This record gives sequence, C-alpha cells and structure tokens, in this order.
Amino acid sequence: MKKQVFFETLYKLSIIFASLLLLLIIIFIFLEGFPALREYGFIKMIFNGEWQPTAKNPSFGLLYMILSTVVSTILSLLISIPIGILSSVCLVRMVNAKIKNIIMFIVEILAGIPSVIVGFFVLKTVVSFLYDHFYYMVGVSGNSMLAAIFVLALMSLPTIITVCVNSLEAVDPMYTEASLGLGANKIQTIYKVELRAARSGIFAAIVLGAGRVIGETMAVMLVSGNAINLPKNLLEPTRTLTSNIATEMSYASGLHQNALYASGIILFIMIMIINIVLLVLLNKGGVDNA
Amino acid sequence: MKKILSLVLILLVCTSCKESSNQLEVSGSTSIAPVMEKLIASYEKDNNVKINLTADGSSAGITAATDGVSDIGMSSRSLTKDELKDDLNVNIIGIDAIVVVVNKNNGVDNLTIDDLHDIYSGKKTNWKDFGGINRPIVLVSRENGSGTRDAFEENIKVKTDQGISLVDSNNPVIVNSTGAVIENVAQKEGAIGYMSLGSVDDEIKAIKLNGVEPSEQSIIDKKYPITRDFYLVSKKDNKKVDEFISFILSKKGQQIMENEGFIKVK
Repeated sequence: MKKQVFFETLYKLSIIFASLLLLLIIIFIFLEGFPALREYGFIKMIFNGEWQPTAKNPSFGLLYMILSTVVSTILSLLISIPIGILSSVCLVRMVNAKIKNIIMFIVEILAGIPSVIVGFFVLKTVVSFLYDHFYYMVGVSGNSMLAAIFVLALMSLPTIITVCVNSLEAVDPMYTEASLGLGANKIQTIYKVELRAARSGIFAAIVLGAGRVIGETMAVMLVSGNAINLPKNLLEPTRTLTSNIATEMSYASGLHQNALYASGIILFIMIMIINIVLLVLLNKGGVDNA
Repeated sequence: MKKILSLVLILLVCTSCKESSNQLEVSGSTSIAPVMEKLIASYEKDNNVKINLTADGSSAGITAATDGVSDIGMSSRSLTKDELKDDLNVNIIGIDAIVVVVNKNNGVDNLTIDDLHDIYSGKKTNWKDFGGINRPIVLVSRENGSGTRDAFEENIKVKTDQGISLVDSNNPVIVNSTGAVIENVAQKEGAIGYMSLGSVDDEIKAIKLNGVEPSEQSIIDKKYPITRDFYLVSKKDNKKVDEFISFILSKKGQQIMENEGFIKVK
C-alpha cells in the first residue's frame, strides 16, 4: 500500500516539476527581457529595423529579423510541404509495407540528426556552391537567405512526412472503398477523397513543421551570414530571431543582453500563436472525424 | 529516507559554495581569456591558489572587478572616466595588434586605413580598386559586443560619433568566433576579415597596413596602426591579487604572453 502512495507521489512530483520548469523559463525570459522592452518600447522594437545595440543611444529594432524569420519559414515550408505530402502519399498508397518501413526508418533518422550537423553539411555544400557560382555579385558570400531556407526545408521535412503518413493511415478505409466503388481511379481517390479526409492531420503537420523551422538556431546561424538587413534577393545574408540571440549572447551585457532576451519573448509569442493554431486545428479535426 | 536525502543534498550544496581563502576570480575580455588561461595554469603550478576564469567581455569584467564580484577584471579597451574609480589598480599586461587577413589567392598585400574604411563602409566593393583581381569583396565581421570588432571599427572609423556601425548594411558575413573568421576567409577568395595577431594561422594571409608588416618590432615601435592594450583591473591592497599580477609582469609571465602571439610590455 505504501509503495503505491510513494509511486503516486513520484508521478505527481514529476508533472509538477515539468510544468514548473516551463513556468520558470517563461518567467525568466520575461524578467530578463522586460527592461529592454520598457526602455526601448515594444512597438518600436517590432516596427523598427535598426539594431545597433552597442551605440551610444542603442537601438534594438527587430523588424528585419522578424521579417526574415517569417519569410524564411514560409519559403522553406513551400519547399518541404509539397515534397512532404507527395512522399507521404507515395509511402502510404504506392509502395509495399517493406519499402515503406525502410523509408520511414530513414526519415526518422533524418529527424534525429543534430541540427548543427545539418548546418555544417549545408555550409560545405550549398554555401560553397552559391559562392562559387555567384561570387561576381556584390554582397554575395554564399552565406545567405537561400542557404537558410534550404537548411530549414531539410529540417522540417521529416516532421511533415511522419505526421502526414500517420494522418493518411488514419483515414477510414470506407472512404477509399466507396470512392473506388464509384468508379474513381486511384489518383482521383487519393487527391479528392483521402487527402481531404486527412486534411486536419496535414495542417497539423504543416504547423508542427513551422514550429520546428522558427525555433531552429544553430544550423541557420552557420549558413545565413547573420547580417542585419532586409535581403534584396535570396542570395544576400540575413539574420533570424534565434540566430540573433545565439550570435550575440556571449559578449552582450546590460541592456544589450536584455534586448536579446526580448527577441526571445517575441519568438515565444510567435511560437505561442503557432501552437494555438495547432490546437484549434486539432480540435477541429476531432469534430471532422466524428 | 527523504529527510536523509535532503540533508545530504543540503550538505553538498553548502560545501560547494564555501569560499576557500585560496581562490581568485578572474573575469572579462574574451580576447585576453586564452592567454590568461595559460598564465593561470603556469601560476597554479608553483603556487597554492585556485584561479577561476570567466570570459564574459570587457565591460562585464570591469563591472565585476569594481563591484568586487571578481578579484581581477580583464579589459581589452581602456577604461572610461566613469569606470576609473580611485580604489582601482589598472595594469597594462600586454599589447595586441588587430591584423587584417585576406584569402591566400588574393594578390593584394597592402591596404591603408582609408582603404579599410572604404571597404568596410561599402564605398568600394571590388578588389580591382586595390590592384587585385576583379572580384567583389566579401566582408567578414565579428558580432556586436565583440571587443575586437569595437577596436577595429573605431580604428578604421566606420563608427559614427554615436557609435553606430556602418558595416551592418553592406551584407557582411557576421560570425562570433575567430575560428569562423579564419574559416570564411580561407574558403572565400574575395573575403576580408580581422583578428588578433596571436590568432593568425597559415590558412590565411595577413596583409600590411599603411605599408607596415604586423610584427613584434613594428608594434613596439608603434608603427603598426591598429593596436590595443590589454588591461587588468583590480581593487587596491589585495596581496594575493598583486602577487598574481606581478607574476604576469615578470619575465616568465611576459614570455607566456609572447608565446601566445601578443607583445610584452616589460
């Protein structure tokens, strides 16, 4: 009997620990970032692009970084979503179970590769390639928005494939049979019936992929060039919110450090929005299936 | 059981935070930290002290020494009037030169300070303007807050009076370590970067500034244009601290300074 009480307490303590940890992180980030928000102003921080943290009158505008985070997220998803959906359709409907298992195994390994290694790989391949072929353009160093997009697409692909495969597999076989029975061919069935039935799962995959992309730091920092500007084309360098924190944290002090935490707050808000969207989508999905 | 465990934990925490009287805390400039590490290792061998080193930037080091959080603060910039308090000792322990480096295949081997100003402020963007190949210049820069970047940008005047850097808008590759500067300059034929004299290796080419080769002699003679002093800041009348600083200024300590690529002051 005592043993049971002990283990019950253990479980409860674990959950309290886990939720307290999240709470502590939130409180910490907000406490550290608040002085910069108060000194410089939240609105100014979001709508000003000038980031000069060590000037006499320091400015902490994050606009360019917010924009480049959003743009690189969207563009990388434009690459990884079609590839992800098509390959999950292929895996679920067009190959046999053995091949599917092998490929899913590979996808899972891909998901587990540390981001710094992906970043290094892209640095040595894509970044070198870009510099070797476009060096004659002023401002092109290979480290660029394009390389960052490539890294992010690579990193979100496994998440998107896994979630899409799961949601396609969960489609009620009755839909498929009914569609085939009505004379629709396989491709028609996939696109008109199955993908539609699985759409809430696919949306979830996209949002999860977006969350992974926004939070990615090391790999992006290695390849993006980290210049604070609004790139005029994809070959120019750029800096995202996460790489801003990682690039400057080691030497920052005072208000500069607070401002880096403030970019963390803004990142946090963006991720919260994504999670809320995810929650809404998943709930809606539940109603759809009922 | 729970009580015993928590007691043990509390004991552990208490013993670890107990201040040993034979400890010194050193913190500050990341440019000085590598050579400081060597100095500490050598000093600890012959003396019964434990010296803890934290690399968190010059400003943080000066503040920590002033507030007494650290015994010694390392700074790679001179102290401002506000920072210079009466109860502080400030010692120069070595001189560093900031060296401009380019890719080995780059034919250019001399630039003036004005050239550097034009390059880093984006006025001139091609190596052919300086007698090199027809290839755009790729700027490699350190990040905001780096002491090396501050010293370099002040010297080549790409900072406005307000301290605003003109470099950021010219599509530089911004990296946060000397290793990454070397990597970028070694890989990209059009690249230009800068670093401490002690960090230059044979993957890249250090160039002359105003016609002066970066070398010990040219720095001692004050001919080389971009140099900075390394300072140690400490409270006055602390015997253990003073002993350590006099070790750094001794022949042995200065030899270590020299071995790491810096210029000795004594």
